Amino acid sequence: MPSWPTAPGASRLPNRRNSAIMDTGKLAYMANQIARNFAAQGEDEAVAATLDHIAKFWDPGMKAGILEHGGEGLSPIAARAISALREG
Amino acid sequence: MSQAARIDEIVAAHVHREGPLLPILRDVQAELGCVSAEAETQVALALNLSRAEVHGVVSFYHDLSERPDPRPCVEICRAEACQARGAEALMDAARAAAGERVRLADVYCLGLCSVGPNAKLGDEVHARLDAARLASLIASA
Amino acid sequence: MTYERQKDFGTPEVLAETQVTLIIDGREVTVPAGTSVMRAAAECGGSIPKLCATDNMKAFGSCRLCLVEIEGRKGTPASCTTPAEQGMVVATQTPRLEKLRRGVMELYISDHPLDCLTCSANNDCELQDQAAAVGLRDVRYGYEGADHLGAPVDTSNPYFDFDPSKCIVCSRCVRACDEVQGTLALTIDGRGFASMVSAGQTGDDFLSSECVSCGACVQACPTATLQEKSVKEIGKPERSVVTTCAYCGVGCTFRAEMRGEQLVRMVPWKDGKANRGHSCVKGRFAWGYANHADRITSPMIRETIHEPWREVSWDEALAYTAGKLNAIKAQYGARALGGITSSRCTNEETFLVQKLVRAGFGSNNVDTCARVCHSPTGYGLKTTFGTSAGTQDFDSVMQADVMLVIGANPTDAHPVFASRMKRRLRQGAKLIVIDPRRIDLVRTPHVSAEHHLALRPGTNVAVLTAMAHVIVTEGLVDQAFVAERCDVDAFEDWARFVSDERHSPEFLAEVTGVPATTLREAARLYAKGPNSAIYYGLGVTEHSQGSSTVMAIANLAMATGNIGRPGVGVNPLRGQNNVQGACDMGSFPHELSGYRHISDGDTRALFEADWQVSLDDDPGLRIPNMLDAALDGSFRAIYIQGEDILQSDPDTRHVAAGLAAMDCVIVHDLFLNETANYAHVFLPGSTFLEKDGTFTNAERRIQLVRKVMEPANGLQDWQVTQALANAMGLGWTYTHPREIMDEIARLTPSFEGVSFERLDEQGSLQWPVNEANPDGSPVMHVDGFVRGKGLFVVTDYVPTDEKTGLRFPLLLTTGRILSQYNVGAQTRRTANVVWHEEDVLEIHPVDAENRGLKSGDWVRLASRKGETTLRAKVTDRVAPGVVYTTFHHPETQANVVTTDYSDWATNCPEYKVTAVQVSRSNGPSDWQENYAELADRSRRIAPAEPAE
Repeated sequence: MPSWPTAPGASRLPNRRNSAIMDTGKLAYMANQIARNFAAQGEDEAVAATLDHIAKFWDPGMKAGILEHGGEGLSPIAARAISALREG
Repeated sequence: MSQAARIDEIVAAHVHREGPLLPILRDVQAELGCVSAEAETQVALALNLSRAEVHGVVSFYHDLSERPDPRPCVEICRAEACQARGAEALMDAARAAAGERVRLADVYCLGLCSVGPNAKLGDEVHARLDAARLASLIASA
Repeated sequence: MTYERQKDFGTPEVLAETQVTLIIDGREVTVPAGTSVMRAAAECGGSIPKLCATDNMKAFGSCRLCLVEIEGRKGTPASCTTPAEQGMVVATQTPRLEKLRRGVMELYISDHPLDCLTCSANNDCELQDQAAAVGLRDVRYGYEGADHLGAPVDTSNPYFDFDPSKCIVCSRCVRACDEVQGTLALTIDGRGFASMVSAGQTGDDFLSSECVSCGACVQACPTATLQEKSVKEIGKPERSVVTTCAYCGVGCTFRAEMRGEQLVRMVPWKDGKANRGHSCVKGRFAWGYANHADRITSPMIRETIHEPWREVSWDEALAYTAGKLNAIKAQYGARALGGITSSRCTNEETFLVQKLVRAGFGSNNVDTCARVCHSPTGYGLKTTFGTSAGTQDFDSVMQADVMLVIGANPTDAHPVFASRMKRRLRQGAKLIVIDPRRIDLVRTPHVSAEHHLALRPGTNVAVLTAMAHVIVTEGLVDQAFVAERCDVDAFEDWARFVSDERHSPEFLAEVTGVPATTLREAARLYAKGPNSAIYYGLGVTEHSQGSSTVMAIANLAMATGNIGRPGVGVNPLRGQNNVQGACDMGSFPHELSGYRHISDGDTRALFEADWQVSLDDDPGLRIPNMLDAALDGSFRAIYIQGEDILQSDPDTRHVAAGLAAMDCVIVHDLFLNETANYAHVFLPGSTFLEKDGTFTNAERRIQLVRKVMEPANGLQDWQVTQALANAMGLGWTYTHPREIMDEIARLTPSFEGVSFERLDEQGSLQWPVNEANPDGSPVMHVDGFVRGKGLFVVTDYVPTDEKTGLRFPLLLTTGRILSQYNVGAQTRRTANVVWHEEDVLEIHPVDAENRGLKSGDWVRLASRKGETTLRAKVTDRVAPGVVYTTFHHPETQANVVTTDYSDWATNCPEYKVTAVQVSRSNGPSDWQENYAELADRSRRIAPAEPAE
């Protein structure tokens, strides 16, 4: 039986109910991507828009994941948005 | 120069006219002796028509043919006025004179209705034909 | 109901301001000026004999049967070519006319086989009808003269035959291919008595010609000359049911013509508002998959994916499934389960799946295939206009002066609509195409694009921003429209942004690959209109900036005032028959039906009251995130209805790994598709012929799907979902889909006035259907945008992270083809395989030469994600540096190569940009061979146990 490789870079976390999920590097990438696409609106607007987007579209597990991730690898706008998420 | 290149030139010469298809096809026929399927396709692409459309036009006109026929051609009028003046009676002898060497084509009216029977060889029209004169016309083709 | 042919008025309907009144056979009739006498007679209950006239094509005047006598006029004019005039007095039945008509019929019948009794058109033949109508009794010419009876029959097309011996050269087929379809594959060869219909050139048959097998000629043919093979085999239909096609987002209406319980043929319905009596090869002919040997009709289960399947009863399958789901929920929580709705199943069925997930599983983990195609449309148009859908109906195209087609290939993917586009273009409208590939529409007989912007894949936003730059800096903005209808502050920010030099066509020319002069001219053409319409497809959405591109499109439309009336608008060409509907029904993890966010307390309260359950208010997982969560162990069960994510979603290895990591994968489908290789439960589905419900097409048009035959698997799909819900204790009691639609209407404001009754009455309804729009809404945002003022959104070009380099120097983009549909689950199981048996890789001659490749060679297509093997086709339709393929055949595994990059806002995968290398190959890749082996093993079904 051929063995199927897992996706490169996936981090397997132990099973937990409502656990923070996902390859957290990927979550950071997604946050940065969102921030980059809002950047042209000006920094403060971009931070607000990024926060709003994540609040509206990310499931609780993903939100927990990015919060656990800390600020590593996040762009300035994304980092500010995630801080606001942590507070709000 | 290849056939395709020559056809390109013919297309270029006529493409800006209103209704360029027939002038192009007539020039292709005149120069290459026929309008082959490849030529039809090439012209269709150049004029942005479908292959079927171009083929429809080529197949409609007697003057356009898909395959070349190098034999000389004598066109004999078989329309009503020439019939009234006895053209049909000349046909057997004409066919005998033509044999395999000359192609006889039926045409319908050369516009010489009062002086028929009439025939055409190349650009020349011949009127008041009888069996003998028609046979020698065919022999001279 | 008995079989009746659809009424034929003879010549097309004319719309005119003035009306004229005339008298036909003593009856007074009033018609719009310009209507033919023939049609006027048909309108007042009369009927003039005809053979070459039919009402979806211009009058031709060749058969000479429809002659009439008009008071005060000499001779006997043809009624098809004679316009009705005020005060005209017409007689359609006089001794003179009768004699003339009989004479005409004598000529026709003198060269026609007299085999009526064994002919497949017996009793459904207009020639028979007319011979009877004119009272033909004998043929004075006899039958010993020259005839065409020896002509060979052309059986090359898999669906219909062409028998020239029965042809009366009425030219309806040639005209249909010209006027209706716009392909011009047919012509009349020769002249006079030698005239015959020819599919192309000498030596062509239907299959080798330019014919696209749309069936318009077959429908037009009055005799058995062009006849469906199915009619020859099965016999004449005896009844018909009007229903909606299940292939693409055009949503053609067909009459399913039946003989007993057998479907004989699908004939386009003339009153279909989306298709107006036309069809394509798929809807018209490729319905045989419903009876294919691969169809599974019995539920099946297995403990692990390595075992063969075990056929079981519905009760056992549902109990097993419910048991597993409840156990997983108890152990891992509600968020460990989820569902994927189908964009091919009905609105009612999709509504039930999302209800099962939300009310049954207890989370918002529901998503749909629109994730991978038009989710950016949902996001982009909601943000700018306030509605996640196109703004017009299809008829609107006939009033467009300029069409901008970006990232779409309508002649392949929406053929019936493309024919209408071509019709309008041939009337003089202009076309701009933005596509890396020279799609057919750029240059096809009688149609050519004014401008083809062959941009580098991935640079859509740059091109559109450059166009905006031209429009703003050259003073082409519709200031009045912007001031009145749009958010002025947002407009000013946007205008300032696009005016910057770095967004000029000159500055961006190198990035986009589009010459500045071409781009400027295209922008000016679009801006000038006066009616400019944008049509777009997945070449816009399936990019890392898909949502931004949609918003850029909306910006252009708003800036030039091209919204809110016929002939303009923003038109996403939705791919699937019900992807619009699936989105409308709340299939997205963050929205309930009607695009209302689940955080909105009022909306949630409405549903909670109706469903008697409390709903999760956090957004759920999207499909790619479900797979990630599966790999992390927090997502463990999934119910997939009518979707094959393993074949259609990108990064196949990732999808496979995600599915393999789950404990319970339920596939509800017609066939053992690729996803089923990883499934534990297989619930057999029903086809569109076997269910009642509704589909919503790209025009927001809700149309009825009517059951034509009993489901081969025993249950309609909505009944399966209900049974599963009830096995989990939900107690649903729907007895008919109309009850589900009533619930949808109760809970969704834009569907308020929709019901099966109204749909029966009206034929179809375009949402919103509410108090303000009781009969539906063909054109949206007429007086104001749904969100109030239109919002301009700044869209900065952010290049994709997917870069070419030394290792992967080419860019791969993907697309569709006419004869195959999506993953090919249906079309590969029909005779359509004669046209596209395998996916091929299109490669430019320069790139091919550098690699020593020629057409037909096996090539290895590799990206950093994986590799696969397929055959090459050398063509200059793609630019140097770009390669192209389709994804219809699972053997190709095209998605092994695509990446996990996706749209920033919606995670719509970036299928359209993958950096690849192409090289010669000996044969299938390791992955393909391993996969083929897995698939074979996984499809084993254990033989049934002998009864005790």
